Amino acid sequence: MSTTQMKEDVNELGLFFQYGKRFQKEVTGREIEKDPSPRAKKIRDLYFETSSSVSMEFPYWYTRRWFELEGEIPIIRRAEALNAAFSHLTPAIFPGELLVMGKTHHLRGSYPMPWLSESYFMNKEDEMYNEALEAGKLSSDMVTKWGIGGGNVTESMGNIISIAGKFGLRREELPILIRTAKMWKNRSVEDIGHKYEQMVPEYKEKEAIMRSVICMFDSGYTLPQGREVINYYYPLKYGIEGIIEYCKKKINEVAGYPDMNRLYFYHAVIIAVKGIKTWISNHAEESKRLMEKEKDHQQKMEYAEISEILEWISSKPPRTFHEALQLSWIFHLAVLNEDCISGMSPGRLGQILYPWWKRDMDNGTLTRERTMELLECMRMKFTELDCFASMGVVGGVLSGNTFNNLCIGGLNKDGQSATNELEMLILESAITCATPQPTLSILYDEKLPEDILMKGVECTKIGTGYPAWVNNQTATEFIMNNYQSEGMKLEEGRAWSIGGCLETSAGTWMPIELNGNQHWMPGGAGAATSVGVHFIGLPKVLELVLFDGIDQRTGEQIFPPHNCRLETYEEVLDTFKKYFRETVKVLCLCNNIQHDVWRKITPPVINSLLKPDCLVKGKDIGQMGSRYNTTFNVEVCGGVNLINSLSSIKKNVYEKKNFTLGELKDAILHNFGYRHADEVKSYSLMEQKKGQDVKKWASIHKLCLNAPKYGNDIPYVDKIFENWESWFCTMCHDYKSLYDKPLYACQISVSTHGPMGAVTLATADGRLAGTTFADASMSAYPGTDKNGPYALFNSATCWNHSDSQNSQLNMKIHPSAVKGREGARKLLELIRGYMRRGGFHVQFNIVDSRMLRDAQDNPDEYRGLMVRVAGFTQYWVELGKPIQDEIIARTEYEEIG
Amino acid sequence: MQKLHIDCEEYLVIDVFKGFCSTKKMIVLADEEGCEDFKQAKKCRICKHFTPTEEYLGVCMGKATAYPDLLARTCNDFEWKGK
Repeated sequence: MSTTQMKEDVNELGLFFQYGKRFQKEVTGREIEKDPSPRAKKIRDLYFETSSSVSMEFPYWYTRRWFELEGEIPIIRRAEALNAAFSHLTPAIFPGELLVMGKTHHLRGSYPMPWLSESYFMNKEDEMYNEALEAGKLSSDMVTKWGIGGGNVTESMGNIISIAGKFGLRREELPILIRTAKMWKNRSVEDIGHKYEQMVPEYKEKEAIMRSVICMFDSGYTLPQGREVINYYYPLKYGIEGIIEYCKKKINEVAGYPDMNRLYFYHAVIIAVKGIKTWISNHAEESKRLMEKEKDHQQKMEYAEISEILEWISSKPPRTFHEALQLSWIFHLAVLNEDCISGMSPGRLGQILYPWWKRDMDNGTLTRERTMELLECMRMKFTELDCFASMGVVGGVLSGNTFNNLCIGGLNKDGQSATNELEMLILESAITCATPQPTLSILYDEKLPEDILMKGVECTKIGTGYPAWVNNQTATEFIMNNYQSEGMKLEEGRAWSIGGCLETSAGTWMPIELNGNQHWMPGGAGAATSVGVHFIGLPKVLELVLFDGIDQRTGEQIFPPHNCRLETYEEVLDTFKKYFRETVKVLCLCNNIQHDVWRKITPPVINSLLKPDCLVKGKDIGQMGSRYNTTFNVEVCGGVNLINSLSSIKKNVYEKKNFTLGELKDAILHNFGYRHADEVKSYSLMEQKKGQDVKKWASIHKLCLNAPKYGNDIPYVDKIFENWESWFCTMCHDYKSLYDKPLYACQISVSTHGPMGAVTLATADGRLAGTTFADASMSAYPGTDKNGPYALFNSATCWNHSDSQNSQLNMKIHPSAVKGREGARKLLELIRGYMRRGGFHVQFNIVDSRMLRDAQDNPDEYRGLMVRVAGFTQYWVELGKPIQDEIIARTEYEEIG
Repeated sequence: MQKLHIDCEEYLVIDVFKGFCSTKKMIVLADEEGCEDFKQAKKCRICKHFTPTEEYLGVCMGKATAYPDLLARTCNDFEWKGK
């Protein structure tokens, strides 16, 4: 691209935000549009009109039963509480549904779990809230901005109270919410964990780190499980009664023998599963009740079928594809109801359910059309999921998403392509019924057949951001490196899948006999990942290096003064590493305590019964019952801004001596003469407003913006990047998890680049204060990648991606660049180009940025518009403005050749 | 006492604002007056084991905290007040 070609699009900072020549004068829509079945359309239309709703039914019954059992063994108490809650959930079946049941009786329901964290629910004046504020736990809430549209209940109205600008709660349930929350004061994982984490010698520093939002949030009481792959094997093979019988048999073997925790675990599983059984039976009865009064013949028959299916699977293993899908969904829900969870991924669902589907198709009891209806209904069920957590977590991190990642492709046990015809239909249903959940990932391998890859490209071209393209070979290498110390062999390494948005997770193959054949069913075999150290804002750490450990936003001394004059680039880098190490150490220690309290107070019963080898060992996940337990990690955010800033400091301050470090600090403190993002309500560099004395810092700002930038295949900056990756991926191993396993690197942003950018001053790369960081971890900073996609790929792959659990690359491509079959081929070649360089992950927003700008101005006209944020797709109208601005600003590729 | 949609047995909750009337087959608002076919849903407030203590709170069976608007269809101990 030449400067003249894009002259009209260059903003005053000299940034382009586009690559390639713009061919289209008019705003271009998405090329491929297909419609869902009338049934799914009706359900989706209802969803569009539905608000996120909170109810107290589950927490009420859980809490009531818990407090009745004072003195009981914790895991039994926990199971009894879960049993009471599941048994009392009011059943709800909505007309037209083929797959039924939800987290609560609301279509888009969720509820608080005060046994994990209760302080959030207190009034601001309440003593507990103030204590929490003092501890720094709520700081991230204050810098999180919510989307204003869609299903978010952004304001209280009438009898509805808005919680965190997202969830609606009926006024009549507020007193019981407060009463219940108070019952958990000093008993919740949050409070007990807080009591003991204070015993870590460096705890005061941890508090300061949280207050300055160097770290986004705690781990043990926020989202203690998730970012993992579920395993449906036991319910599908044995059914509910079979699981109960298995546990009874095990109790006979272990009762009275050493390692008595096994006895309590098996008993707890029986109690919890009986609660799930009652929950299913209550829905079967409700369906029968609806059937009896229904006059419409087709609906009557459907209620009858649902009732019969639920009645059967409430005790026995599934007989059909429909039953297998329904039972899988129920256990997925059951786990989500057990804990506050994001990113519980179904994994390779098409490979799991294939034997039932094939049998039904072969014997003529199932058609392709019916399969599509069922899969579209499944998409709606996953889309209806909400996760209730604090605003800082749900808004600032998750953007309201729940990250259920369904994976396609990869290799089977024998190293051959694992894909099948059902996976083609899963992709097709994601095209016809485009919804945020479940998001899809293609586990790319050279052995995958062309038809599945082209179907994946077709799906990518609908513009909803899925499937993500993930490198099977790179991931398998990471998995083997990470888990061979726990006994993993290559055959099993191939069973990996994506947990959450992009967390590479260990899997296994479990044998199941159907149709007279033995099948090897893939499923998760590891504990939760993305637990441990959550999201360290790297540019913020560098900011504290420049200002001797003081957060200029709050004036607080966060790290001890380094008292170093920073006379060389190496001194800057070494001090950065020192502060970063201190941060990881204290967060790791404190979060280990939180997770220890979590496993003692709220041991995972339902997720454990599903996850190999908990049932075999008689140990829950918290007791390392999972086959693989090296799952804690260190998450970082803003890496590309860190690298670009280091590049600028190295070049401008120490090599060219264009300005001194003192002058740079002065410019940063004055935001290069620009007004703060919060003042102008714009959060990217696309639209910022100058202050009165901008000229004073204009030349420094220009030099910062012109310093070598990541994403252009420039060896100068790529070397800094490579060195950082090499150091970071190695240093994580120096810290141990609760389970005495080394931590590893995790490099995804989710939505944290919004709120973490909000608390960070201007940076040495020319980014302005309060604006978002670059998204993901391999994406270039918007407007700075000027040499085309393959230059970006070369920069991104200058290090070995299998050293990290993940890396993440988002690209925004104009629809005209991938138009038609030729465009599809080009896109596949682009994907291959990245995968063959060893890139771990790439995904695309196929969209005209001008459409996004219009959607920002006219949200009511774009209720169904979806975009890829980080490892997830979300409705545009449900995103906060900082993330919207960042997506609009991402460099738009008009050409990809 | 008002007979609101939200208190009707045939009210299928969609969200905190509205629900589906399974008799009339239409979406209705939770806080609007119910129709002539109104049938009281089982809720703690009309259970004989429930004793109100303060606004929106009470006691179940003389011991456990409860709240009047809790749905009680799945409660084995539910008994209609006055019956």
